[in-house]
Amino acid sequence: MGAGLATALHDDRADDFERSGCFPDEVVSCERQVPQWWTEAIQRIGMLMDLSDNWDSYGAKAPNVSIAHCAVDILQEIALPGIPQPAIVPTPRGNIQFEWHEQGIDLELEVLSQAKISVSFEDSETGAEWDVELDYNLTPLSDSLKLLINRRMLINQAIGNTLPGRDSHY
Amino acid sequence: MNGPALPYFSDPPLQEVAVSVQFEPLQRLVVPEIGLLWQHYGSKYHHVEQHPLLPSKIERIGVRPPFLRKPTLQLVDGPVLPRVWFLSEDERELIQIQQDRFVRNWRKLEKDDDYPRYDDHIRPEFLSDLRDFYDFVSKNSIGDIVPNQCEVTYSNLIASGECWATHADIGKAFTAWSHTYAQTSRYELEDARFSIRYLIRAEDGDFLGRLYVTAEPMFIGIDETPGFRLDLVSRGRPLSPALEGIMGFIDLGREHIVRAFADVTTPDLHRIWGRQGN
Repeated sequence: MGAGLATALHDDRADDFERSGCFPDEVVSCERQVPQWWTEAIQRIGMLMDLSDNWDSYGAKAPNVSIAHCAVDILQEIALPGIPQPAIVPTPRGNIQFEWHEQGIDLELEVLSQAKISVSFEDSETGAEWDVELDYNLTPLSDSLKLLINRRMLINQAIGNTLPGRDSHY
Repeated sequence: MNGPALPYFSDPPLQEVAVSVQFEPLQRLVVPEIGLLWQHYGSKYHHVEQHPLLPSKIERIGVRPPFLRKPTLQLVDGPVLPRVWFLSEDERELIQIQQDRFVRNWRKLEKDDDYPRYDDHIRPEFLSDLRDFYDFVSKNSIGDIVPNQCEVTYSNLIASGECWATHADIGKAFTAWSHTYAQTSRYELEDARFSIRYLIRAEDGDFLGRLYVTAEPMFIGIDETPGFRLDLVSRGRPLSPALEGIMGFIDLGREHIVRAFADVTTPDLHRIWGRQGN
């Protein structure tokens, strides 16, 4: 499709005070900062725009610009502090999917439209497993992401890193 | 939303009212169709303008607000249909169209312009133009309109006068700011602003959307009269995908705006604006 890609950081605060970073990492503003992996994720979504129809040689549709914008919007809202970088893949029906496979959790989120996502969750530790389509209430998704983040924190603590959130992703 | 009758102001400080619906992008709504759409509206709208696209917005719960430092993504895949304005002859009213949005605005251009009232004008004109848009999209096989958000915006300009003089008097204009604080603070207040976010829920507690209330100090005209811009925005999902569901949220959102406007502004200002009833 040859879509061009550009990303920019825009700061709409009138006053950006010089801060010393004295708050601990556990204190998170209602308005958040961008994860370190953000640019890489955006570039990956941009790369998916280069796909053509039949990219998997089984008749898959290529994702379009509209679904890419939806994917960026949803990723921005679910990027909780400490969230690991997701794998970002195209789906055969022309959508974009985020995936996390770690800490015994398999979490897949397919962006279907501006207001609809499909979520698939499996936890090998508890045996929990569900698939659901969500629109305006994303609580089940954020609960799953928090579970993933907490398990990562516990692992980090177990290996001596006692500063949760200070991993390579932020 | 049931409750006491809505507050009524005979002379509100309204500058602009916008009512809109967002839907899944209509990929086949491109430049030639926009020309046909302008014809479809006939002589109602005389002028056309192009403007940059509005970003899509969805109110969700269970997630955090978007980043403060907004990373923006600009993907371009061939020519992009801009946001198009169709303006009435006197330019007081306009509709805005883009692939995922239909907006209708009324704006005050002259000091003596009267607000034409929601029930008498704003609502029926929006509904009439939106119906025409639905008809056009259907007749021209442009796609199915799948609405996902509705939005109502009331933008007010509150000029200083008999109740308050400088931005430091913010507590005399807004109940959301304590005037006592300004009087007792050891520091000389220069100005202040506020931004409030409320949840909008259905009667059964189901999340519908949010109401945003923001006040921003500003100066008006060449004599730099102090003023506050007070914006109230209700945004949320349609109560159903049908036109009735769209209007259902818009009516509810507007009701929240009117009540919140009365709540956050002071009785002294209400007297100036001719508050009647509750």
